[in-house]
Amino acid sequence: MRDSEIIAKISQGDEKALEYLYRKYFSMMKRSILKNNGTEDEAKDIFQDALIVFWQKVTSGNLVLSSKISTYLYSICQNLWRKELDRKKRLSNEEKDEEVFLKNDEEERLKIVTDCINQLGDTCKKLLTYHYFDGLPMSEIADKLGFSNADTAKTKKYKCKQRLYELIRSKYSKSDFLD
Amino acid sequence: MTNHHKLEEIVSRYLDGDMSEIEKLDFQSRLVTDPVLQEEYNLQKDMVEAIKIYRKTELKSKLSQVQLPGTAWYQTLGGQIAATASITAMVGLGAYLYFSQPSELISLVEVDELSPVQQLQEALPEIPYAFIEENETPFSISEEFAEDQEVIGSIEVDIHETESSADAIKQVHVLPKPEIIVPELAMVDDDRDLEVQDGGFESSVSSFEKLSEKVAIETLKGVKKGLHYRFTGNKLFLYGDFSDQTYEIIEINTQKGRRFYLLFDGNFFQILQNQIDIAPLEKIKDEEIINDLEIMLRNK
Repeated sequence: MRDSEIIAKISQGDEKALEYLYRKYFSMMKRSILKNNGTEDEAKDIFQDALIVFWQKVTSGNLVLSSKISTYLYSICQNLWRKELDRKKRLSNEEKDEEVFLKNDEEERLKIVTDCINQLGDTCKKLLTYHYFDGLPMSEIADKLGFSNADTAKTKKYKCKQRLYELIRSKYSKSDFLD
Repeated sequence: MTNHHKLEEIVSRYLDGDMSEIEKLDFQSRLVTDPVLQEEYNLQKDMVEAIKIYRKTELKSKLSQVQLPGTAWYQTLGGQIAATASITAMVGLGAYLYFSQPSELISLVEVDELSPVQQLQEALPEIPYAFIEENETPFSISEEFAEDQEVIGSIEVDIHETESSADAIKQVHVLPKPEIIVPELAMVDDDRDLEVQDGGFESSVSSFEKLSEKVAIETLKGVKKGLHYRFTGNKLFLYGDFSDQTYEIIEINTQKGRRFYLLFDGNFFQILQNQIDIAPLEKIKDEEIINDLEIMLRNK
Protein backbone atom coordinates (compact mmCIF):
# COMPACT_ATOMS: atom_id res chain seq x y z
CA MET A 1 0.00 0.00 0.00
CA ARG A 2 1.30 3.41 -0.88
CA ASP A 3 1.64 6.10 1.76
CA SER A 4 -1.13 8.14 0.16
CA GLU A 5 -3.49 5.16 0.27
CA ILE A 6 -2.70 4.51 3.90
CA ILE A 7 -3.41 8.11 4.82
CA ALA A 8 -6.66 8.08 2.87
CA LYS A 9 -7.82 4.96 4.69
CA ILE A 10 -6.86 6.30 8.11
CA SER A 11 -8.65 9.59 7.38
CA GLN A 12 -11.81 7.57 7.10
CA GLY A 13 -11.09 5.75 10.34
CA ASP A 14 -10.01 2.44 8.79
CA GLU A 15 -8.20 0.63 11.61
CA LYS A 16 -6.86 -2.06 9.26
CA ALA A 17 -4.49 0.51 7.82
CA LEU A 18 -3.05 1.04 11.29
CA GLU A 19 -2.55 -2.69 11.72
CA TYR A 20 -0.80 -2.78 8.35
CA LEU A 21 1.68 -0.14 9.48
CA TYR A 22 2.26 -2.01 12.72
CA ARG A 23 3.13 -5.24 10.92
CA LYS A 24 5.21 -3.51 8.32
CA TYR A 25 7.44 -1.33 10.45
CA PHE A 26 7.66 -3.05 13.81
CA SER A 27 11.00 -4.76 13.09
CA MET A 28 12.62 -1.50 12.14
CA MET A 29 11.37 0.32 15.25
CA LYS A 30 12.21 -2.61 17.50
CA ARG A 31 15.83 -2.62 16.29
CA SER A 32 16.19 1.03 17.11
CA ILE A 33 14.79 0.70 20.63
CA LEU A 34 16.73 -2.46 21.43
CA LYS A 35 19.90 -0.62 20.44
CA ASN A 36 18.96 2.09 22.92
CA ASN A 37 18.63 -0.01 26.07
CA GLY A 38 15.05 -1.06 25.52
CA THR A 39 13.31 -4.42 25.59
CA GLU A 40 11.02 -5.94 23.01
CA ASP A 41 7.97 -5.27 25.16
CA GLU A 42 8.99 -1.64 25.51
CA ALA A 43 9.47 -1.47 21.76
CA LYS A 44 5.92 -2.76 21.21
CA ASP A 45 4.53 -0.28 23.70
CA ILE A 46 6.41 2.68 22.24
CA PHE A 47 5.58 1.82 18.65
CA GLN A 48 1.92 1.32 19.47
CA ASP A 49 1.88 4.74 21.15
CA ALA A 50 3.61 6.24 18.12
CA LEU A 51 1.05 4.73 15.77
CA ILE A 52 -1.77 6.11 17.89
CA VAL A 53 -0.23 9.58 17.79
CA PHE A 54 -0.01 9.24 14.01
CA TRP A 55 -3.61 7.98 13.87
CA GLN A 56 -4.90 10.99 15.78
CA LYS A 57 -2.98 13.42 13.60
CA VAL A 58 -4.40 11.96 10.43
CA THR A 59 -8.00 11.44 11.56
CA SER A 60 -8.23 14.95 12.96
CA GLY A 61 -6.84 16.44 9.73
CA ASN A 62 -3.84 17.95 11.50
CA LEU A 63 -1.10 16.09 9.68
CA VAL A 64 1.13 17.77 7.13
CA LEU A 65 3.43 15.01 5.98
CA SER A 66 6.62 16.05 4.24
CA SER A 67 8.41 12.73 4.46
CA LYS A 68 7.60 9.05 4.20
CA ILE A 69 5.28 7.64 6.83
CA SER A 70 8.06 5.34 8.04
CA THR A 71 10.40 8.29 8.62
CA TYR A 72 7.69 10.16 10.49
CA LEU A 73 6.84 7.17 12.67
CA TYR A 74 10.52 6.63 13.34
CA SER A 75 10.86 10.22 14.62
CA ILE A 76 7.83 9.84 16.88
CA CYS A 77 9.26 6.61 18.29
CA GLN A 78 12.60 8.24 18.95
CA ASN A 79 10.94 11.12 20.77
CA LEU A 80 8.70 8.88 22.86
CA TRP A 81 11.57 6.59 23.76
CA ARG A 82 13.77 9.54 24.74
CA LYS A 83 11.01 10.83 27.04
CA GLU A 84 10.61 7.39 28.56
CA LEU A 85 14.35 7.12 29.23
CA ASP A 86 14.30 10.58 30.82
CA ARG A 87 11.33 9.61 32.97
CA LYS A 88 13.12 6.49 34.19
CA LYS A 89 16.22 8.49 35.04
CA ARG A 90 14.26 11.12 36.95
CA LEU A 91 12.50 8.62 39.11
CA SER A 92 14.22 8.49 42.45
CA ASN A 93 12.81 6.27 45.16
CA GLU A 94 11.04 9.14 46.92
CA GLU A 95 9.61 10.45 43.69
CA LYS A 96 8.50 6.95 42.83
CA ASP A 97 6.39 6.64 45.99
CA GLU A 98 4.77 9.99 45.41
CA GLU A 99 4.15 9.22 41.78
CA VAL A 100 2.55 5.90 42.67
CA PHE A 101 0.23 7.64 45.14
CA LEU A 102 -0.87 10.22 42.59
CA LYS A 103 -1.28 7.59 39.92
CA ASN A 104 -3.51 5.50 42.16
CA ASP A 105 -5.76 8.49 42.74
CA GLU A 106 -5.96 9.28 39.02
CA GLU A 107 -6.50 5.64 38.17
CA GLU A 108 -9.35 5.46 40.65
CA ARG A 109 -11.06 8.44 39.05
CA LEU A 110 -10.41 7.04 35.62
CA LYS A 111 -11.90 3.70 36.60
CA ILE A 112 -15.03 5.40 37.86
CA VAL A 113 -15.59 7.24 34.59
CA THR A 114 -14.59 4.20 32.49
CA ASP A 115 -17.22 2.11 34.27
CA CYS A 116 -19.79 4.71 33.28
CA ILE A 117 -18.56 4.68 29.66
CA ASN A 118 -19.00 0.92 29.60
CA GLN A 119 -22.64 1.38 30.51
CA LEU A 120 -23.27 3.33 27.33
CA GLY A 121 -24.44 1.63 24.16
CA ASP A 122 -21.95 0.87 21.37
CA THR A 123 -23.14 3.73 19.20
CA CYS A 124 -22.66 6.26 21.99
CA LYS A 125 -19.22 4.89 22.83
CA LYS A 126 -18.13 5.10 19.21
CA LEU A 127 -19.62 8.53 18.70
CA LEU A 128 -17.91 10.01 21.72
CA THR A 129 -14.54 8.34 21.06
CA TYR A 130 -14.55 9.24 17.36
CA HIS A 131 -15.29 12.84 18.27
CA TYR A 132 -13.04 13.40 21.30
CA PHE A 133 -10.12 11.16 20.46
CA ASP A 134 -10.03 10.58 16.72
CA GLY A 135 -11.25 14.11 16.01
CA LEU A 136 -13.21 12.87 13.02
CA PRO A 137 -15.53 15.45 11.49
CA MET A 138 -19.23 14.95 12.18
CA SER A 139 -19.90 14.15 8.53
CA GLU A 140 -17.39 11.28 8.68
CA ILE A 141 -18.86 10.04 11.95
CA ALA A 142 -22.34 10.18 10.44
CA ASP A 143 -21.14 8.02 7.52
CA LYS A 144 -19.43 5.48 9.73
CA LEU A 145 -22.33 5.09 12.12
CA GLY A 146 -25.15 5.31 9.59
CA PHE A 147 -26.68 8.63 10.56
CA SER A 148 -28.50 10.56 7.88
CA ASN A 149 -26.32 13.66 8.18
CA ALA A 150 -23.82 15.53 10.34
CA ASP A 151 -26.51 17.41 12.28
CA THR A 152 -28.19 14.18 13.32
CA ALA A 153 -24.83 12.85 14.49
CA LYS A 154 -24.18 16.05 16.43
CA THR A 155 -27.54 15.83 18.20
CA LYS A 156 -26.90 12.20 19.05
CA LYS A 157 -23.46 13.11 20.37
CA TYR A 158 -24.99 15.67 22.68
CA LYS A 159 -27.46 13.10 24.01
CA CYS A 160 -24.72 10.51 24.54
CA LYS A 161 -22.58 12.99 26.38
CA GLN A 162 -25.54 13.97 28.55
CA ARG A 163 -26.21 10.34 29.34
CA LEU A 164 -22.60 9.78 30.38
CA TYR A 165 -22.61 12.99 32.36
CA GLU A 166 -25.72 11.98 34.29
CA LEU A 167 -24.29 8.54 34.98
CA ILE A 168 -21.17 10.06 36.47
CA ARG A 169 -23.00 12.68 38.52
CA SER A 170 -25.65 10.38 39.85
CA LYS A 171 -23.29 7.61 40.79
CA TYR A 172 -20.45 9.38 42.47
CA SER A 173 -20.00 12.19 44.93
CA LYS A 174 -18.53 15.54 44.03
CA SER A 175 -15.44 14.86 46.10
CA ASP A 176 -14.34 12.22 43.60
CA PHE A 177 -13.70 14.95 41.07
CA LEU A 178 -12.28 17.81 43.03
CA ASP A 179 -8.50 18.21 42.94
CA MET B 1 -32.43 27.04 31.26
CA THR B 2 -31.20 26.69 34.81
CA ASN B 3 -27.90 28.15 35.94
CA HIS B 4 -26.39 24.73 36.13
CA HIS B 5 -27.41 23.92 32.60
CA LYS B 6 -25.87 27.16 31.45
CA LEU B 7 -22.64 26.27 33.20
CA GLU B 8 -22.72 22.82 31.69
CA GLU B 9 -23.20 24.25 28.24
CA ILE B 10 -20.41 26.80 28.56
CA VAL B 11 -17.92 24.22 29.76
CA SER B 12 -19.00 21.80 27.03
CA ARG B 13 -18.52 24.44 24.36
CA TYR B 14 -15.09 25.26 25.72
CA LEU B 15 -13.95 21.62 25.77
CA ASP B 16 -15.41 20.97 22.33
CA GLY B 17 -13.53 23.92 20.87
CA ASP B 18 -16.73 25.72 19.91
CA MET B 19 -15.73 29.12 21.33
CA SER B 20 -14.16 32.12 19.66
CA GLU B 21 -10.81 33.35 20.95
CA ILE B 22 -12.44 36.13 22.95
CA GLU B 23 -14.93 33.74 24.50
CA LYS B 24 -12.10 31.37 25.43
CA LEU B 25 -10.14 34.11 27.16
CA ASP B 26 -13.24 35.18 29.03
CA PHE B 27 -13.92 31.60 30.12
CA GLN B 28 -10.34 31.08 31.27
CA SER B 29 -10.38 34.22 33.40
CA ARG B 30 -13.72 33.17 34.97
CA LEU B 31 -12.35 29.72 35.67
CA VAL B 32 -9.68 31.13 37.94
CA THR B 33 -12.15 32.91 40.22
CA ASP B 34 -15.35 30.83 40.06
CA PRO B 35 -15.23 27.58 42.14
CA VAL B 36 -18.59 26.34 40.83
CA LEU B 37 -17.34 26.72 37.27
CA GLN B 38 -14.12 24.99 38.26
CA GLU B 39 -16.03 22.02 39.65
CA GLU B 40 -18.07 21.67 36.49
CA TYR B 41 -14.97 22.07 34.34
CA ASN B 42 -13.06 19.38 36.27
CA LEU B 43 -15.92 16.94 35.99
CA GLN B 44 -16.30 17.38 32.23
CA LYS B 45 -12.55 17.43 31.70
CA ASP B 46 -12.23 14.08 33.49
CA MET B 47 -15.03 12.75 31.35
CA VAL B 48 -13.33 13.81 28.12
CA GLU B 49 -9.95 12.48 29.30
CA ALA B 50 -11.51 9.13 30.18
CA ILE B 51 -13.12 8.93 26.74
CA LYS B 52 -9.73 9.54 25.13
CA ILE B 53 -8.01 6.95 27.30
CA TYR B 54 -10.79 4.48 26.59
CA ARG B 55 -10.28 4.87 22.86
CA LYS B 56 -6.49 4.74 23.13
CA THR B 57 -6.71 1.53 25.14
CA GLU B 58 -9.08 0.08 22.57
CA LEU B 59 -6.70 0.81 19.70
CA LYS B 60 -3.69 -0.53 21.62
CA SER B 61 -5.56 -3.68 22.46
CA LYS B 62 -6.36 -4.24 18.78
CA LEU B 63 -2.71 -3.72 17.83
CA SER B 64 -1.58 -6.15 20.54
CA GLN B 65 -3.63 -8.85 18.85
CA VAL B 66 -1.92 -8.35 15.52
CA GLN B 67 0.54 -11.10 14.68
CA LEU B 68 3.87 -9.54 13.88
CA PRO B 69 6.28 -10.99 11.32
CA GLY B 70 8.71 -13.35 13.02
CA THR B 71 6.47 -14.06 15.97
CA ALA B 72 4.49 -17.20 16.53
CA TRP B 73 0.72 -17.03 16.80
CA TYR B 74 0.86 -17.88 20.48
CA GLN B 75 2.86 -14.74 21.18
CA THR B 76 -0.06 -12.48 20.29
CA LEU B 77 -2.65 -11.64 22.91
CA GLY B 78 -5.36 -13.52 21.05
CA GLY B 79 -3.04 -16.47 20.60
CA GLN B 80 -2.26 -16.60 24.30
CA ILE B 81 -5.95 -16.62 25.15
CA ALA B 82 -6.58 -19.38 22.63
CA ALA B 83 -3.61 -21.37 23.92
CA THR B 84 -4.77 -21.04 27.53
CA ALA B 85 -8.27 -22.16 26.58
CA SER B 86 -6.92 -25.12 24.60
CA ILE B 87 -4.53 -26.19 27.34
CA THR B 88 -7.30 -25.89 29.94
CA ALA B 89 -9.53 -28.04 27.77
CA MET B 90 -6.80 -30.62 27.33
CA VAL B 91 -6.08 -30.70 31.06
CA GLY B 92 -9.80 -31.17 31.66
CA LEU B 93 -9.94 -33.98 29.12
CA GLY B 94 -6.86 -35.58 30.65
CA ALA B 95 -8.39 -35.42 34.12
CA TYR B 96 -11.60 -36.93 32.81
CA LEU B 97 -9.71 -39.77 31.15
CA TYR B 98 -7.65 -40.36 34.27
CA PHE B 99 -10.60 -40.56 36.60
CA SER B 100 -12.92 -42.39 34.21
CA GLN B 101 -13.94 -46.03 34.51
CA PRO B 102 -11.62 -48.33 32.57
CA SER B 103 -14.27 -49.26 30.01
CA GLU B 104 -15.04 -45.63 29.32
CA LEU B 105 -11.34 -44.85 29.05
CA ILE B 106 -10.76 -47.57 26.51
CA SER B 107 -13.68 -46.46 24.37
CA LEU B 108 -12.48 -42.90 24.31
CA VAL B 109 -8.95 -43.93 23.40
CA GLU B 110 -10.24 -46.12 20.60
CA VAL B 111 -12.29 -43.34 19.12
CA ASP B 112 -9.59 -40.73 19.31
CA GLU B 113 -6.33 -41.96 17.86
CA LEU B 114 -4.44 -38.70 18.18
CA SER B 115 -2.48 -37.95 21.31
CA PRO B 116 -3.46 -34.83 23.28
CA VAL B 117 -0.48 -32.97 21.82
CA GLN B 118 -1.43 -33.99 18.31
CA GLN B 119 -5.01 -32.98 18.96
CA LEU B 120 -3.83 -29.57 20.10
CA GLN B 121 -1.70 -29.22 17.00
CA GLU B 122 -4.61 -30.24 14.81
CA ALA B 123 -6.75 -27.60 16.49
CA LEU B 124 -4.27 -24.81 15.88
CA PRO B 125 -5.10 -22.39 13.09
CA GLU B 126 -2.65 -22.29 10.24
CA ILE B 127 -0.69 -19.13 10.58
CA PRO B 128 1.18 -17.95 7.54
CA TYR B 129 4.77 -17.01 8.08
CA ALA B 130 4.43 -14.10 5.71
CA PHE B 131 1.58 -12.71 3.75
CA ILE B 132 1.01 -10.33 0.95
CA GLU B 133 -1.82 -7.86 0.81
CA GLU B 134 -4.18 -7.97 -2.10
CA ASN B 135 -2.91 -6.16 -5.15
CA GLU B 136 0.66 -6.29 -4.04
CA THR B 137 3.02 -7.93 -6.47
CA PRO B 138 4.98 -10.82 -5.08
CA PHE B 139 8.68 -10.77 -4.91
CA SER B 140 10.06 -12.04 -8.19
CA ILE B 141 13.54 -12.65 -9.39
CA SER B 142 14.63 -11.76 -12.84
CA GLU B 143 15.62 -14.80 -14.85
CA GLU B 144 18.90 -13.24 -15.82
CA PHE B 145 19.96 -13.28 -12.19
CA ALA B 146 18.73 -16.74 -11.45
CA GLU B 147 21.73 -18.67 -12.71
CA ASP B 148 25.00 -19.03 -10.87
CA GLN B 149 23.72 -17.27 -7.87
CA GLU B 150 23.86 -18.05 -4.22
CA VAL B 151 21.61 -16.95 -1.45
CA ILE B 152 23.61 -14.99 1.05
CA GLY B 153 21.16 -12.60 2.61
CA SER B 154 17.55 -11.91 3.44
CA ILE B 155 16.66 -8.40 2.42
CA GLU B 156 13.55 -7.98 0.32
CA VAL B 157 14.28 -6.31 -2.96
CA ASP B 158 11.71 -5.50 -5.56
CA ILE B 159 13.72 -6.18 -8.69
CA HIS B 160 10.91 -6.41 -11.16
CA GLU B 161 7.28 -5.41 -11.21
CA THR B 162 5.18 -6.55 -14.09
CA GLU B 163 1.57 -5.86 -14.90
CA SER B 164 0.84 -9.53 -15.43
CA SER B 165 2.07 -10.48 -11.96
CA ALA B 166 0.01 -7.66 -10.42
CA ASP B 167 -3.16 -8.88 -12.17
CA ALA B 168 -2.50 -12.45 -11.23
CA ILE B 169 -2.59 -11.76 -7.53
CA LYS B 170 -6.18 -11.56 -6.42
CA GLN B 171 -6.06 -13.01 -2.97
CA VAL B 172 -3.78 -13.40 0.00
CA HIS B 173 -0.98 -15.86 -0.58
CA VAL B 174 1.18 -17.64 1.91
CA LEU B 175 4.75 -17.33 0.69
CA PRO B 176 8.12 -17.98 2.18
CA LYS B 177 10.00 -14.88 3.13
CA PRO B 178 11.65 -13.54 -0.04
CA GLU B 179 15.43 -13.76 -0.17
CA ILE B 180 17.88 -11.58 -1.91
CA ILE B 181 20.15 -13.24 -4.38
CA VAL B 182 23.55 -11.71 -4.74
CA PRO B 183 26.15 -13.30 -6.93
CA GLU B 184 29.53 -14.39 -5.71
CA LEU B 185 32.36 -12.05 -6.40
CA ALA B 186 33.99 -13.12 -9.63
CA MET B 187 37.29 -12.05 -11.03
CA VAL B 188 36.79 -11.27 -14.67
CA ASP B 189 39.39 -9.80 -16.91
CA ASP B 190 38.01 -6.81 -18.57
CA ASP B 191 39.86 -6.37 -21.83
CA ARG B 192 36.96 -4.92 -23.71
CA ASP B 193 37.47 -1.71 -25.52
CA LEU B 194 35.71 0.98 -23.62
CA GLU B 195 35.45 3.17 -26.71
CA VAL B 196 32.90 0.99 -28.43
CA GLN B 197 30.21 -0.74 -26.44
CA ASP B 198 27.13 -2.78 -27.30
CA GLY B 199 24.23 -0.39 -26.96
CA GLY B 200 26.24 2.55 -28.21
CA PHE B 201 27.94 3.83 -25.11
CA GLU B 202 30.76 6.18 -25.68
CA SER B 203 33.44 6.28 -23.14
CA SER B 204 34.67 9.51 -21.86
CA VAL B 205 36.31 9.27 -18.55
CA SER B 206 34.94 12.06 -16.44
CA SER B 207 36.04 10.88 -13.04
CA PHE B 208 37.91 8.11 -11.42
CA GLU B 209 37.52 7.49 -7.74
CA LYS B 210 38.45 4.88 -5.25
CA LEU B 211 35.60 3.70 -3.07
CA SER B 212 37.83 1.69 -0.87
CA GLU B 213 41.20 0.14 -1.30
CA LYS B 214 39.57 -2.62 -3.27
CA VAL B 215 36.82 -1.13 -5.49
CA ALA B 216 37.36 1.58 -8.05
CA ILE B 217 34.65 3.70 -9.65
CA GLU B 218 34.63 5.26 -13.05
CA THR B 219 31.86 7.46 -14.42
CA LEU B 220 31.34 7.76 -18.13
CA LYS B 221 28.92 9.69 -20.25
CA GLY B 222 26.37 7.48 -21.88
CA VAL B 223 24.37 8.12 -25.00
CA LYS B 224 21.49 5.91 -23.97
CA LYS B 225 18.71 7.43 -21.92
CA GLY B 226 18.82 6.75 -18.20
CA LEU B 227 21.53 5.46 -15.92
CA HIS B 228 23.44 2.26 -16.48
CA TYR B 229 26.33 0.39 -14.94
CA ARG B 230 28.51 -2.60 -15.00
CA PHE B 231 30.61 -4.07 -12.26
CA THR B 232 33.47 -6.35 -13.13
CA GLY B 233 36.28 -7.50 -10.92
CA ASN B 234 36.60 -4.69 -8.44
CA LYS B 235 35.74 -1.89 -10.79
CA LEU B 236 32.40 -0.17 -11.07
CA PHE B 237 31.52 1.72 -14.24
CA LEU B 238 28.66 4.20 -14.05
CA TYR B 239 27.13 5.44 -17.30
CA GLY B 240 25.08 8.59 -17.37
CA ASP B 241 25.17 12.23 -16.49
CA PHE B 242 26.76 12.33 -13.06
CA SER B 243 28.37 15.68 -13.52
CA ASP B 244 25.68 17.97 -12.10
CA GLN B 245 24.87 16.15 -8.89
CA THR B 246 26.80 14.25 -6.31
CA TYR B 247 26.32 10.56 -5.91
CA GLU B 248 27.18 8.19 -3.16
CA ILE B 249 28.10 4.53 -3.20
CA ILE B 250 27.13 2.57 -0.11
CA GLU B 251 29.05 -0.57 0.58
CA ILE B 252 27.65 -2.94 3.18
CA ASN B 253 30.02 -5.58 4.42
CA THR B 254 28.49 -8.65 5.98
CA GLN B 255 29.89 -11.99 6.93
CA LYS B 256 28.45 -13.37 3.75
CA GLY B 257 29.83 -10.78 1.39
CA ARG B 258 29.48 -7.22 0.21
CA ARG B 259 26.50 -5.35 -1.13
CA PHE B 260 26.54 -2.10 -3.00
CA TYR B 261 23.96 0.61 -3.47
CA LEU B 262 24.05 3.88 -5.33
CA LEU B 263 22.38 7.00 -3.99
CA PHE B 264 21.78 9.52 -6.74
CA ASP B 265 19.22 12.25 -7.27
CA GLY B 266 17.31 11.21 -4.16
CA ASN B 267 16.93 7.58 -5.24
CA PHE B 268 18.61 4.35 -4.22
CA PHE B 269 19.74 1.86 -6.82
CA GLN B 270 21.02 -1.62 -6.28
CA ILE B 271 24.36 -2.53 -7.80
CA LEU B 272 25.01 -6.18 -8.43
CA GLN B 273 28.52 -7.44 -8.48
CA ASN B 274 29.60 -9.50 -11.45
CA GLN B 275 27.34 -7.46 -13.69
CA ILE B 276 29.54 -7.94 -16.74
CA ASP B 277 27.15 -6.55 -19.32
CA ILE B 278 25.96 -3.00 -19.15
CA ALA B 279 22.62 -2.97 -17.40
CA PRO B 280 20.18 -0.24 -16.40
CA LEU B 281 20.33 0.97 -12.83
CA GLU B 282 17.05 0.01 -11.20
CA LYS B 283 15.53 2.11 -8.46
CA ILE B 284 14.85 0.37 -5.18
CA LYS B 285 11.18 0.64 -4.35
CA ASP B 286 11.02 -1.42 -1.20
CA GLU B 287 10.36 1.14 1.51
CA GLU B 288 11.89 -0.93 4.26
CA ILE B 289 15.23 -1.12 2.46
CA ILE B 290 15.07 2.58 1.64
CA ASN B 291 14.49 3.35 5.30
CA ASP B 292 17.38 1.14 6.39
CA LEU B 293 19.71 2.84 3.94
CA GLU B 294 18.56 6.30 4.98
CA ILE B 295 19.16 5.44 8.60
CA MET B 296 22.61 4.13 7.78
CA LEU B 297 23.47 7.32 5.97
CA ARG B 298 22.20 9.44 8.84
CA ASN B 299 24.22 7.49 11.36
CA LYS B 300 27.50 7.33 9.43
